Amino acid sequence: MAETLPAFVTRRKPEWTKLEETLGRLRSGKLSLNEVSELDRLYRRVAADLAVAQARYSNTDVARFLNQLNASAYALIYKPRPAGFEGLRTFYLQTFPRLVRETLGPIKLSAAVLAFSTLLGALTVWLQPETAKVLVSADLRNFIDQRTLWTDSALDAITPGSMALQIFLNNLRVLFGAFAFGVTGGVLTVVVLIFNGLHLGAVIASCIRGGVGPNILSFIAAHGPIELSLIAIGGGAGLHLGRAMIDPGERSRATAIRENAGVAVQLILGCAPFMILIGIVEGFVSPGAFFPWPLKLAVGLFSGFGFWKWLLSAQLVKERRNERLEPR
Amino acid sequence: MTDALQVATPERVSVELPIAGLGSRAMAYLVDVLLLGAVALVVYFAISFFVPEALNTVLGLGRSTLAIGVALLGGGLWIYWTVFEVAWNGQSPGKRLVRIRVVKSDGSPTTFFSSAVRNLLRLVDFLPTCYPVGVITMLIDKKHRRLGDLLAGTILVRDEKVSLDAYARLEAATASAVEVNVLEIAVKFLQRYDSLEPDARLRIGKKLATRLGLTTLSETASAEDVRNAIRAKLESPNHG
Repeated sequence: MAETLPAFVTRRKPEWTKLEETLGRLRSGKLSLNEVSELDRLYRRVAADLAVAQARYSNTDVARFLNQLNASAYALIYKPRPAGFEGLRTFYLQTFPRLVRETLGPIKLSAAVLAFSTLLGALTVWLQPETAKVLVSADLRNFIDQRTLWTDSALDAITPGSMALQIFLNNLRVLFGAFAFGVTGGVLTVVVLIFNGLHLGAVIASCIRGGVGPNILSFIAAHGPIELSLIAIGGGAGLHLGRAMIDPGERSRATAIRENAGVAVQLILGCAPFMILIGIVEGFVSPGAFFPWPLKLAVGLFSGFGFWKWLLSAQLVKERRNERLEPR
Repeated sequence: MTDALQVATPERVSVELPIAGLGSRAMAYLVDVLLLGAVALVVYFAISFFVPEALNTVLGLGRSTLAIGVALLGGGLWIYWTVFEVAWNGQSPGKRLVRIRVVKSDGSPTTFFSSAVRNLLRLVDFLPTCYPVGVITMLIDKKHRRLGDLLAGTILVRDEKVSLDAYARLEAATASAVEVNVLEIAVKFLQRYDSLEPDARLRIGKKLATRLGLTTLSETASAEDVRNAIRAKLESPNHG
């Protein structure tokens, strides 16, 4: 014979209250070992109570109360382990390089788009110098006309620190834009990449035409390789996301988008610290002639080579299963 | 409740998480924005102690410096939502006040990456201003998710507060003789009596009295009498 509702409540309520209290203490701080095993016991018993309430007393406040109690207990007990320093280490030693390797296709495509549009921008300005009026900003053209480079004179006006910050934020905007526009199916990602490539190519070409070619090449040498790599990875992340929208393959479109977005975000977050480093190099090392150009070139080539060497060969071992960083 | 997320916990029990709608989400957002605005105001006055004409100084800054400021502000907002959602189990201060929470689409607690994505995508949802993209997506989506939620695989659910006080007052012996759903309605009736329309009090009260077998009430009994009779029948005298 089924127990009546008031009898059920009277009999079980003490444990419900106890679970609520224990959860409160779990939220605010530490539980002793005994309390943890007590929590485990209480939680299972209350889960059983919910099953009983759903069967006998569905659509009552008691059922709703138990539902809510179970939901908050479940959320607290199954809370993912916070990713601390160990998680960060695993992310950079294993997860991030692996994700880059897994999305090498879109990254190559985005690099190709970037390279092609850079070449296109350079050729256009080289062959039709007047197009520089469209592709290169007026400020830059003035500098080039005066046979100086904006990076040389900029140092007089603003400090390297604020320049590094400015460059970092600009890079971040490009990187984030390339990723976020992936939600347009990758179309706007490609547009962002093309614009950046065209602009870069046009600036280099008009500098060379204007007689400040060595300056610009020496400016780019130190940070260029990694900066362009990061933009290519950002574009690749955007294309990876866009691909899920257009061609989800055997997964449902929603699943594909969620999974690829998770990968894309990890790629972007993984790139962020390098954006800071490269912004510092770009702000302090690259401008002017304080560092000789062979040194800049060496820094650029060495860092670029090391970056990709690390990404492509870092710890090809299975990640430990309990170190889950992926949103699943 | 029509909209709810069904979650099967590892304990083999199905928990139902009611999905939060546009209204409560907008409310939580407003609270967060007000809070951030208050902080900004305090910071502004603190700065104005040291810098005369603080506002004009800011407006007089160059475009690139302003752009940096806006970018830093955006980064700060992102950190605000992400850090709170991770540390407070899916809740920002506004969400906590409105009692809603971010969970992953399988009902499990949100992770750093999910929160990071959904808050990064605020930028897109916000476009061109005041979240039209997000609102339209939420109206189309059955689970009221904005673009950021769709990409991050998260859902906003309501944390309901249900009180069992009414049950504690029940007289076990009497209540056991009453059907569960009639009992539930009677409890709700007593709880909500004060907020009911006067004629609804009498109408519902009389029906309930019949179902509870209270035959002693006269035809002309007032709503107050009916309530007292129901209360006397259900509640045990040793509780208030």
